[in-house]
This record gives sequence, structure tokens and C-alpha cells, in this order.
Amino acid sequence: MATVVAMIATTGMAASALAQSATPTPKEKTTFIYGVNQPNSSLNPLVGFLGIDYNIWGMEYNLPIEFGTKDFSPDYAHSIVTSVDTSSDNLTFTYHMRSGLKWSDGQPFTANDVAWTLNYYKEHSISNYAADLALVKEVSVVDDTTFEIHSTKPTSIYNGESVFMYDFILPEHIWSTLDEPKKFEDVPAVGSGPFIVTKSKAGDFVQLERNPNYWGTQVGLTPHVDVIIEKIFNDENQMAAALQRGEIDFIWAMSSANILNSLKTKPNIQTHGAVQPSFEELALNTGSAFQTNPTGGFEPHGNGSHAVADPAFRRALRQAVDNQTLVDKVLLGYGEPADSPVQISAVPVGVHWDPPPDQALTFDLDKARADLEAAGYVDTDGDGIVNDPKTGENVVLHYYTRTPDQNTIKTAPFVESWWKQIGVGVKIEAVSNSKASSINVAGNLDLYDWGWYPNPDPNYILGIFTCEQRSPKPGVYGNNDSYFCDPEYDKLYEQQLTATSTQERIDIIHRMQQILYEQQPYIMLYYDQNLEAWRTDRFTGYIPQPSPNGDMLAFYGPFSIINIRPVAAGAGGTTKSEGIPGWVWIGIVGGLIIVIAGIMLGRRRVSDEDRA
Amino acid sequence: MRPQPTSTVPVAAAPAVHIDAPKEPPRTPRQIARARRKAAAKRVWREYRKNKMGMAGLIILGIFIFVAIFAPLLASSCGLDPTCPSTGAQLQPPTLKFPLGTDDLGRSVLTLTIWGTRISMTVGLVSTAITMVIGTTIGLIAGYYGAWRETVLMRLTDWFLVLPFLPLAIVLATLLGPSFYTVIFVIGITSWPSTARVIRAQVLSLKTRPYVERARALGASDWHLVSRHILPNVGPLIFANTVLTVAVAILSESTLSFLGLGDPLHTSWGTILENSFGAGAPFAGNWWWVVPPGLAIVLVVLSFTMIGYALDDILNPKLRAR
Amino acid sequence: MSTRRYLISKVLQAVLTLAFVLAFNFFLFRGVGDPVTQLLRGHSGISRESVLQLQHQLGLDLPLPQQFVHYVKETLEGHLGYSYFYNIPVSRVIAQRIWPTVLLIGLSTFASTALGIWIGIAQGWRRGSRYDQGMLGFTLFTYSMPEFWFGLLVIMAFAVGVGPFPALFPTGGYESTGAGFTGFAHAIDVVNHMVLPFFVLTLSYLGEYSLIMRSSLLETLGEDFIITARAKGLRENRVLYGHAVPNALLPTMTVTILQLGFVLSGVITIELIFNWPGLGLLTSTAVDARDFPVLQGLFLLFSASVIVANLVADLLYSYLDPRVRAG
Repeated sequence: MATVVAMIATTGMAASALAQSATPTPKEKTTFIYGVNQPNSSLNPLVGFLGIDYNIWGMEYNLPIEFGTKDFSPDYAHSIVTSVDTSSDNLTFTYHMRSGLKWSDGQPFTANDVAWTLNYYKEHSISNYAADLALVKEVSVVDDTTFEIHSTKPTSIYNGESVFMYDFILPEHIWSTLDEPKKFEDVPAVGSGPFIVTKSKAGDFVQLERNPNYWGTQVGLTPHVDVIIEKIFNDENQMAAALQRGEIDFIWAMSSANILNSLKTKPNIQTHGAVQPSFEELALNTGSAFQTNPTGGFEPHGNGSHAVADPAFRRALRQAVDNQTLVDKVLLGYGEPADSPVQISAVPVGVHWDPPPDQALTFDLDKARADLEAAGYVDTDGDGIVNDPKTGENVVLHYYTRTPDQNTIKTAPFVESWWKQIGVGVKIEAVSNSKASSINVAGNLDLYDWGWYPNPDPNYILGIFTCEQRSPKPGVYGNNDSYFCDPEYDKLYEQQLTATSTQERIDIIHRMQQILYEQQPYIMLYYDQNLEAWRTDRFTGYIPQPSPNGDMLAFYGPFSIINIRPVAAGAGGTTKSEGIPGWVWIGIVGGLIIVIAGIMLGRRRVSDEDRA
Repeated sequence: MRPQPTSTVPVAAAPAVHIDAPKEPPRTPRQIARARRKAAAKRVWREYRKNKMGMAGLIILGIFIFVAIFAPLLASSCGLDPTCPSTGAQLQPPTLKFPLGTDDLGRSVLTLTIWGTRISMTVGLVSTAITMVIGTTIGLIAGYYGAWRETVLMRLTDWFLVLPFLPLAIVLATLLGPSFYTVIFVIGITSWPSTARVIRAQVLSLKTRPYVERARALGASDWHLVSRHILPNVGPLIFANTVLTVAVAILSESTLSFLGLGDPLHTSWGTILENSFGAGAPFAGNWWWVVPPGLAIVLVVLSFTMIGYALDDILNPKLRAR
Repeated sequence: MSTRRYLISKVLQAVLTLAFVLAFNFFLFRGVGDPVTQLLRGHSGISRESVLQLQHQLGLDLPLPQQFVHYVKETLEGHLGYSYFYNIPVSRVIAQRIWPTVLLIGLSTFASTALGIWIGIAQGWRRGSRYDQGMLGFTLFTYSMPEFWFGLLVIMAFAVGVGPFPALFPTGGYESTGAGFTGFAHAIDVVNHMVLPFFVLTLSYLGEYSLIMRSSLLETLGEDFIITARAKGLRENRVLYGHAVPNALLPTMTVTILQLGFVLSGVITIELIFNWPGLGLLTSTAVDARDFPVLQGLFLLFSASVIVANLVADLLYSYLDPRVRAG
């Protein structure tokens, strides 16, 4: 026994000594590691759909026109497209590209790639991008550096005054040869961005390396980093500890404000609540059981209450929710009260709308109670809960929160308490995301708490509220989870797409937001901030998008990732060895041997003594 | 053979028997059996009292049962509601006003832990009840009737034993939705196989005892045999097994709740840990939010385990010291 | 009954159990309902047609019996389907994660079994002594604590650092990201990362094993042949290691192997909190993502492992204990 232990000990000591000598010299490659809190769904731009997937593509591929960092307006100086001409009938848009563009494998990047990609997205209804190309009849190639977008109706959305197409351009010579493009893993990738994916392990990490043929150096875009690793964590305690120990350089998104506040106190770490388009809302069932507009084949279904189908009732509810309290208590301050699903930084610049003070439905329990009464909701049986004038029954709303999102769980007691004070009862239930979705599709709810992450252009998020996006019958999915259906709104939606001037489009979208505010299909809660943290002693040069409080490592475009550089010569990006040095191991193993030996010797003596 | 136990309890002075004192009426068999069982129980209790581990377990359990029953008196239920005015600042370490600190919504961790006792213990007990009913029934039928019934039931038991507990529990809970009813159901139906096995083994050995064979020769019905002879003798084993099963059930509930499969709108020790973990308590060093609920689980499970082992020590003839 | 017949019957039973698991697996996950719906929220512009297309692609529009036959056929060929979430074959996903779990479970089971048995023997032999009482308290405590809670405490103490204590070990993960270690350095790096989860798992389960070993040994010591051995004048050590332990070891071993199901359960929570990229973590994330093909594959793998382990235990038991073979 003792011999065995001795053998183990010797091996252990030898191993650790060897480990010390075998520690590789600091790599010449500058490596930047950022942590994310969920696995990528797919690195294939046709398939993936998560924000962190978009991050990767933002480094690998180009959009036709890039979002500028200041306010998302077009950055022609750094895009593959340099200018756009609009025909007088607003039906044909001529895009002029830069020359000398290359893919990472050296092949030329031409208008052919753009046309092929956009046509492919449209023909195959690729869900990430199809909405952007709704009005596209065809994209044609004029020459190597010129392509034309032909739209089905006169419009302003492709005139290049604002970035409308959030669509990554893929290399035609790679993708058109695939039998099943959707099954393609795209690792290693061929791209046109500053970095391309070279390695990945599902659920663990994604590694990108410098694109040797990056065209961006032509326009002053030269990266200062050689290797980028996206490290996936499944637990934020882990991720924060990794940052603290220097195992990673940047935390790209966290949901725990508590951890962020704790990180703030650690040395060499800076934290930031980044303003982002993400919002959370209470989606109200405006009438899946009662509406009749048959657009999209709609059949009434579900068991939502009459009360919630009444806009006056919804407005009263709105006035009984205090967004600021939720931001303070649930988000620990990392957010901002919201009134419109169109985010503040949305483009075209200025398209976000705020309710003017005389129209604002501010938090006021007394007014809410009064409005409820005026709308006919009175407590006729004296039990503290108002009664539905149509049915005479107590108004108790089925309210669903979602277990994967703690914020929804934490918000519920506050909302319940406020609504109780105006006489509206709730029955709260926590379900999984998929269950919540099924319940909504079946129409069997009054409200649930969910959120969206809109694109910079509000076309998509506005489209959610059109009649034909409602789930038409149980079992068939629809994006319009509030079942909102207003013919005037739908008309305006068409009009904003076909407005021929950008300003006209902005005005129409303002009117649409006003309708949504008056009708309250969503009780908007807040724009939650992206919680980020990074080491100040590793890399510097982060560029917020939008300025000044946006995402420090925004991946709408490659600008921030290109600009970051090590803080001091040799300080950043060297080998991240961690844990116990070799000599400590020797000490531990040695100590263990002594302890074990001692116990064993002691035992033997004792057992010899207590012979029967 | 075990030496006759010397009684340490003073026996009440027996009345002197006079030759002409009236004789007592003859007792019925049922009365005899009951008296015998009462004496046996008294004996077990005497033994149990001597067992330090068992007594410690009983005391600890008693405290927790007290807390569970009297929770509303010990801590106002308003403290569970984040909108309650009595909440404090968020994430505060222990102070006089909040002896176990506050969570991320400002609620007192002490209040949460006290109220968590109710659900944790209820879930543990109810799911164990389900387990014991199913397990005992199957074990009894399989052991007593034997033949094809035994083969079928034991095959079924083996199959269920093979299914790994937590993955199965997770999948079932995912399908049924997060709630404590789901947790109870899941634990109940995944834990019965080991109980069934134990019961069956015991029934098998009892079946061959002389008094059972004699009773059968005398024409006793199956029901009579099972209820009068087998069940009462399996009884102590079932009891000891139950106690140990509750311990495992409470641990299982805490694990399932920690993984997000319990009801997040209610408080059990597992959901407190789930919340603290998700809110980053380990990293932020909010130890007061992590230690108490876990410690409560340890103590309750420990008490059940100690009681169970003490009973095992006493009732299992093979374990008795020389 | 000859050894061969015993072996064959045991193997047949194992196969039958596997068949049951396969069927159970299939129907369990079909009871889920339509998995397509939850994949869709948040996708821009998803159309009704693409939903139907997706359902067809996943084979969800065939009648149930046909789906079952298809499932069995595919599984026997080693095709476990396509992960909804990662969009690569399930077998690939599982293969990428299996080694870390095998490493962690293997080493910690070995350590906790060895330590547990060793402690249990010492306790049983010296029943009632201070060592026995003390160890009993210790093992009962570790047996009663939820392993994930213990893991959280260990993280707080050793990985994050408490007060003046520095963070000694990496908080988790399998290896240092981006460092590119190879060979020995890589092995040491992995060991460094494995210390904490290994420690937590070992400590969590050794209590169970020592308690079982202790009871088993106590039972054995009550048997007649021990009295005989003692009467023959054998030294205590011989009685203990030559006679008592081998007989007490058998039931212990059986129970140990049966515990595999529970060790797998522990691994799920431990891998989660230590970010150890194994099958346990995969189970957690697959549950969150409702990735049913992966869950189905994992379930099958776990069950199959337990079945094989049981079979091994049975065969080992029969080899070591001739009474079993005799029927």
C-alpha cells in the first residue's frame, strides 16, 4: 500500500515539475476573449437566430451598407457600397460598390455576390432577412461593382438614406455549390469581414482569426488583435469569476445586475449598462376569441377575457403600472422606462416617438380607478374586484410569467399588487417559453410577460402588430402575440414601406406608434440595458454604438472589434495560464503522502492492539 | 442469542395475587395480539431512547415540524411579497433587523427560510407517501403471490430502477410544467422501485415463517394472512424505509427546484437557492443568501437519516450488537 | 444452473430492459407535443409555410407507429437525430461532451468508493468507538447535504476568494481558454480545473458508500462464520480482511454500481455550477433550449450506461459469489 502511494506521489511531483518546464512561452498572437451567457444556435447565417450569432456574423461578413457607430446612420466611408442612386420613379436603386474587394480566400468580392445572396434570401424566405426584402422584385448585376435593386412598389427603404437591409452578404462561389446550404456548418468560414471563424465547439467556444485578405485596410480599418474567442458560459457566477481572474477580457452580456454591481468593486474592472434596443412588455390578448377580421385565415379562438379586449380597460391597466419602480427594483436601475416598441436609437434617425405630455398615460392609481369606473368596470358585489359589465363576473386575468426569465418572475408581484389596488385580480402562473408560446397560440391567456430585440430599422417590430401576423387558429404560430388588429394600422404599415421620402416614412411611423400607444396591445415596461464588464488592464479602444452609452463591443458592424488594442506592450493577450503553480502542487501532494502514511501507520498499531 | 433486556423502567407494583381473587376474563386473540404489539412498541421506544443519534434526530425534526406548522406566527407572510412595506434594502448582509440579511428584492432571508420549511417538508412527505403506497403494494403482491405476478412486477421494477433519476425527473417536469405538484408526482413515481424491492425481500422471508404456514394450513385467507401476519411484521421495516425515503425526497425536491423545475412563485429551500444562484450570490459573496437554506436542508435530511438509521439499528436483528 | 445459462439469462434481461427504455424514451418525448412552436418566437418573418416545412423535416407529420419504427431503426444505426438547437447531429454533440464527464465521474467515483469503503470498514470494525461516532457524524452530514449547495460553498470559498483568502483554483471550465497548452501542460491544466468539481463530487458520495459498507460489515460480523474464524484463533486482521470484508464487499459493490444513476444526477448540477463541459451540462442546456433530440439521446445513453453497469455488477457478483450462480 505504502509503495503504491509513494509511486503516485513521485509521478505527481514529476508531472508538475514537467508542467512547469513545459509551459509554453507567451504566444505572439494577441488574443481577445469575450464571454457570453448562452450557446450559439448556429454559425450558419441561414439558420442561426440569436443575438450572439449575429455578433459572429458581424465580424465575418459585411452588410451592403454598414451601421455607423454614432447613431446607426449609414457609414459609406467604411462600407462595401459607396453610394446609392434612386430612379425618379423610386422603383430602381443603383448601388455603387468599392473596387478591389476580396473574400478571405482571395477570391474577388463583386456585385455578383450581393445579388446572389439577396436573391437567395428572398427566394428561400430565410426568416432572418426575408422581411427586409419584402418589396424586392429582383436584384440584378450591372457590372462587377454595380448592382440594382428592383422593387415591386415605389419606396424609400432602399434609397440608402438609412440602413434598411440588415442582411449579411455571403460568398456566392462557396454557397451556390452546396447541396444543402442550411446544413452547412460554415466552420472554417470564408468571409469578407476582419475576422473569420476557424474553430468551434458546440456550447463551448467559437474561435475567429484574422482575415488575411481583409479589404477594410483600404479604408483604414486595421485590426490590432490576431485571435478572438467567444467563450460560452452557462452560469454567470462562472463568467464573472473568469473575468475577475483574468481568464477572459470582456463580458458581453449578463442578466444579473447583482453580479455587475459586485464586479464594479473589483480592481481593474469596469462595468457598463449599455443602452440597447431590447425591451420587455406585458403583451395583452386584445381579442383572440372575439375578433373577426379574417386576414390570414383568422378564426376566433381561445378564452381571453372581454375586459382585456377593451382598449379603455387596457389604458386603465397601463396607468396602474409604474415602469420606474420596475426599473429600480427588478433591473436594479439598469434600464429605462419604455413607451414605444420602436427603440430610441432606431433609424432612420428620429423615428422613435414619445407620447406628448398631454397624451401620456402616467402611473396614477386614482386616475386608473376612475377611468375603470368610467369604462363601466365597477365592483358590483363588493368583494374588492371589479366586475365585467358584459358578463357580471369578477375580472381576474390569467397572467403568465416565464421561468427562464427571472425578470418576468420578479415583475409579477409588483404588477399584481398595483392592479389589486384598482380592483383587478390576477392569476399568475410561471411556465416555460415553449408552454407560453403554445398558450398564446391557443389564445388561452389574458397577458404574458415577454420581450423583443428589434432591428435598428423598426419595419420588423412594427410588422408584428399587423392583422395577418396573428396566429390564425390554435396550433399555428403567429408573431402577433397580442392579436392586435386595426385596419388603419395595417394600411399605415403598407404606406410606410411605400413612402417615397424618408421623412414621409418617419411621419407615418410616428402615427403608427401613436396608435399603438392609444390602443395599448403591449403595456411597454422598459428598455433593459445590456450588462457588460471588461478588464481595464487588457484592452482599450472600445467604441460604443450608439454613442455615448451604447454597447461597447457592438457587433452591428466590425468597428469596435477592429479598434481595440492591448493596453500596454505585452500586457494584453498573452498566454492565460491560471491556477496553482507547480511548486504548490508538489507541496500538496507531499503533504497528502505524509497524512495518509501517518493514518495508516497509526491504524495498524491500534488494530494490533485490540486483538480479541 | 440476545440476552433478555433488563428493564430500566420501574414496573408498577403488581397487585398481590390472592388465591381467591376473581380471575380475569380470558382475552380474545385480537386483544392478545394488540397487547403484544404495544409491549413491542414500548420496547422499541425504550431502545430508541438510549440511541443518542436517534434522539438527536428526533429533536431536530421536532424543531422543523414546529417551524413548519407555526410559520405564520414566526414570520409574517407579508415578508414573502416584495411589495410589502417591511422589506429592507436589497442584498444586505445580516443585521439586527434582518438576522439573515436580505435577498435581491429586499425580502428577509430568515422569513424566506422559515416559510420554505412548509413546502420543502410537505413535498418531501407527500411524495414519500406516494412512493410508499406504490412501492409497498407492488412489493407485497410480488412477494406474497409469487409466480407470474412476481416476475412481471419485478421486471417492471427493474426497468424503472434503470431509468436514471434526475434526467427522468427533469424530462417529466419539463413536460408537466414547473410546479410543486409536478415535483411531488415526479419524485413519487421514480422512487418506488427501491422500496418495492426491499418490501418484497422482506415478504419473501416472512412467507416461509412457521406461523404463516400454520395459519395457512388452518385455512386463513390471503387477506387475513397479509393484514394480520405479514403487514404488521413488515411494518417496522416499512417505517424505517419511509423515514429514509423522506430524506431522499427532500433532497430531490431541492435539486429539482434548483434546476428551475419547482414553482418559482412559491418559496421552498430549493427555489431560494435557485434564486440566489441565478442572481449571482456566489460570485457577489452574498453568503447569507446561500448558506441558510442549504443548512436547513442538511439539518432536516440529517434528522430523518439519523432517525432512520437508529430504527434500522434497533429493528434489524442482524445488526444488533453482541 | 451453469455459468453460461446464468450469463445468457442476465444478458437477455439487459437487452429486454434496453428495449423497454427505447420504447419509453420514444413515447416520453412524443408526449411533449409540438416542439416547433417554441423555436419560432422572435424569428423575423417566419411564414406558415416554413412552419409546416419544419414539421415535415422533423418527421412530425407521420403517424405515430411509423415514427416509432423509424426511430428504432435510426437509433440502432447510431443516428440519434439532429439537434434542434445546435443544428448538427446529436451523436456529434454528445461525442464532443462525453470525455469530460467520463473523466470526472470515473475519477470521483473511484475516489469516493475507495475512501468510502476504507472509512466504512474502519467504522464497522470499531463500532461504537470515537472514530466510528466521529466518522458517522461526518459521513451523515455529507450524505445529507445537497451536492450543488456544497459546490456553491466551495466556489465561494476557493474560487472566488473569501476575505483574505485568495482564489486558489479556477472557478470552472475544462481548460484555460485560448492558451493552447499541449501534452503534459494540457493535462495539468485540466487537472487544475477538475480539482474543485472532483472534490465536491467525491465528498458528496463517499458518505453513502461508507454508510453502506459499515452496515454491510456489521451484518457480516454478526454471521456465524466470523465466530468460527475467531474461535479458530485467527488474528483480527485476518478475520477482518480475509473473511469479513470480502463477504461484506459484495452487497456494497452491488449498491455502489446501482448508485450510478444517482451519481449521474449529481453530475448534472455539479457540471452546471462549475461550467464543466460534459454531458451533465449538456442536459441542462438542452432542457433550457427544449432540444428534444439531444435530451432523447442523452436519456438513452444514461439508461444504457446504468443497464450495462448493472449487468457488469451482476456478472461480477456471480463470479465472486458462487452461491448466486447456483441459483
